[in-house]
Amino acid sequence: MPLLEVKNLKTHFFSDDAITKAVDGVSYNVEAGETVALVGESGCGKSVSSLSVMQLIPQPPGKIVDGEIIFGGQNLLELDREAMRRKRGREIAMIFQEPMTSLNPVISIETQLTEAMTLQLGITPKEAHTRAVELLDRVGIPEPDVRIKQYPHVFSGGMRQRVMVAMALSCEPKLIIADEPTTALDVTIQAQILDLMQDLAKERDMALLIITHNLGVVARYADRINIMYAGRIIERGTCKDIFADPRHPYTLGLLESIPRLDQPKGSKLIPIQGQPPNLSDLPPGCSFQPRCRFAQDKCSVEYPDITDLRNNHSSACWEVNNFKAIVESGVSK
Amino acid sequence: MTTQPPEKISNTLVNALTRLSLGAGMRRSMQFSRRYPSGAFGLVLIVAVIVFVSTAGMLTPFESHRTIAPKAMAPFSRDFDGAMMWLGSDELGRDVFTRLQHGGRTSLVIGLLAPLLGTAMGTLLGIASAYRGGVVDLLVQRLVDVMISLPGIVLSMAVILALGFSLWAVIVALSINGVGGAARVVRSHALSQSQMEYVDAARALGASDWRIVLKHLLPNSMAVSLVLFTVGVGAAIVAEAGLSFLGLGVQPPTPSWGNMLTFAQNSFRFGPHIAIIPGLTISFVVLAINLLGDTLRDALDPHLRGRD
Ligand SMILES: Nc1ncnc2c1ncn2[C@@H]1O[C@H](COP(=O)(O)OP(=O)(O)OP(=O)(O)O)[C@@H](O)[C@H]1O
Ligand SMILES: [Mg+2]
Repeated sequence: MPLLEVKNLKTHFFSDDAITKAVDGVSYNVEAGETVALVGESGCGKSVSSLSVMQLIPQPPGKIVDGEIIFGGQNLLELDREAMRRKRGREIAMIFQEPMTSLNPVISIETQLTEAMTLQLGITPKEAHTRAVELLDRVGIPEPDVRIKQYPHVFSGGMRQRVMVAMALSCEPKLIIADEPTTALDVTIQAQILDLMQDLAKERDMALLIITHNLGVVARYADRINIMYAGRIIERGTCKDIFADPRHPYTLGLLESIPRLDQPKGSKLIPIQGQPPNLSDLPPGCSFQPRCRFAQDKCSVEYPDITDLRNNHSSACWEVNNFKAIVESGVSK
Repeated sequence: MTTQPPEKISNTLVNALTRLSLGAGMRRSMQFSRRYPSGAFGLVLIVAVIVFVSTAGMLTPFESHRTIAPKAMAPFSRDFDGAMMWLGSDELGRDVFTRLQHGGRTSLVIGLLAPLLGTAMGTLLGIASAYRGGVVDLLVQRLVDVMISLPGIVLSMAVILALGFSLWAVIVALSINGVGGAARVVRSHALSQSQMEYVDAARALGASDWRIVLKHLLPNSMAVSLVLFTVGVGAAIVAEAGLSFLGLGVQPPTPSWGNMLTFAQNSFRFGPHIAIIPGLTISFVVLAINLLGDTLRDALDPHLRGRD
């Protein structure tokens, strides 16, 4: 049984004149201890889908209108507020995108780091302090016993994100959701933080759900990848399947738009044409169809169901089965 | 030979003094006054004022409501029995110094408690309004609209008439004046804070709504609330005078700085000291509170606190 099983999740935002279908029928699994990536362009609903798992959607205007979120055999959507609150931090923790604003500027690192532990684990402030120093040490903060007394503004972005990682780890959750944990950091620091998260997750047998818009970032870390487009998962598979045998034109587009070592030196990056659709006014049929270079008549009529090829490699494209042939004929054209 | 810059010499001096001074408390207050000289000055002034009002009845042989001299005598003149009146007599021939001491008790209690209560209520309303949003926000903000649009004195009068005359009624009445403004200012501050990712991060770690309000949003709005409080002190002391004048505040012959100032207006031409003395005293206290308040605000801000 998977640790987390998101089934047909639909989270919509309601305003006076429109319904924004930010997440519209998303399903994915995370097994205990594995690293899963959720990848897609900005605005496709990645954050909303992860906030839905935590039930931190601003409500109103947002509402989870359908679906199930099964975590450890329990449907989180059926829990009451208090029971859900106790799951947060203790069983599922989250790391946010902006290290500069995700720590409270007027509270010391120590208070912020020990708060969750005393609250969720019921340990004494003294024990929490000892653990907090150990955690800071583990995430690579030098002189943790001195720095723990300081305030966030004396920490650099990379160090703050390390503190956030320590906070997420503090209650030993089974799953950490990291929503673009390294987008705001420079490239060398990105790799350090991701390596750190990966090591810690393996060390403590925690599952990691990494959300990112950069397929390149997750290649080294993820066991499995879910590609999201306009509020739905359009392709999923192991890292190897996705990179070696993409079966959706959007995945192909993403791969063509990142630099790769296995390509000839002079070859150009190909950006995906057009803009992502407006989530409150989706076109009929496949939502990628307006930007798809292989689009056919039926693509604009009916949305293709996500179909399983083999070994849990699935894609939501009408041409899943002869995708390769289509790509080759498209290229030669 | 290198000459030492003067600030370095004075620093070493202060350091030496600090080390010599007895006890940790002494050292800490030295540190405080070196880092925040104006705050330390404000604190000294406030302590002086408190000593001044708490020695009422000990320094002078007079009673605050008894006529002992001709009216509007200048400072350093003598009463009927030849006793010295350091600050002269007032429009009814009572000793100004004694009245200033006694009046200070009332004025300080009102001047500190009313804005404290008012800002506290406004702060909580503002934060609740910002954090809860929706209907709560709408209702609170309409209530605040009403509070702000009514003249303060009218609200205060209504409260006193409802509660009956007492010192507490006056304090509550005057605290109401500050609630609306504080609620509005704090709300807008808390609104921007509650959009920050750290609020989501705290919730993602299992913090309850109460915890977020008390542990995250309240400390964040302290700096704003403190400024509102310091501004409120002077306003409350003076507003109390307005109530006295209407017969709703502290009633004569009980003195307060506010009513001393108010009743001095008829004698201003022949005895200006009767108005100037309580007036200056009020300014003095407001200055002291502002100096201290500014320092506290800086001390609350980790960016300005220095790296300790
Ligand atoms: N509070 C909200 N109110 C209304 N609409 C919202 C709200 N939050 C998100 N949305 C809508 O949901 C859609 C998906 O947003 P989401 O934040 O999940 O995107 P994302 O994939 O995380 O993008 P990014 O990579 O930029 O973080 C957006 O189109 C946005 O308009
Ligand atoms: Mg996002």
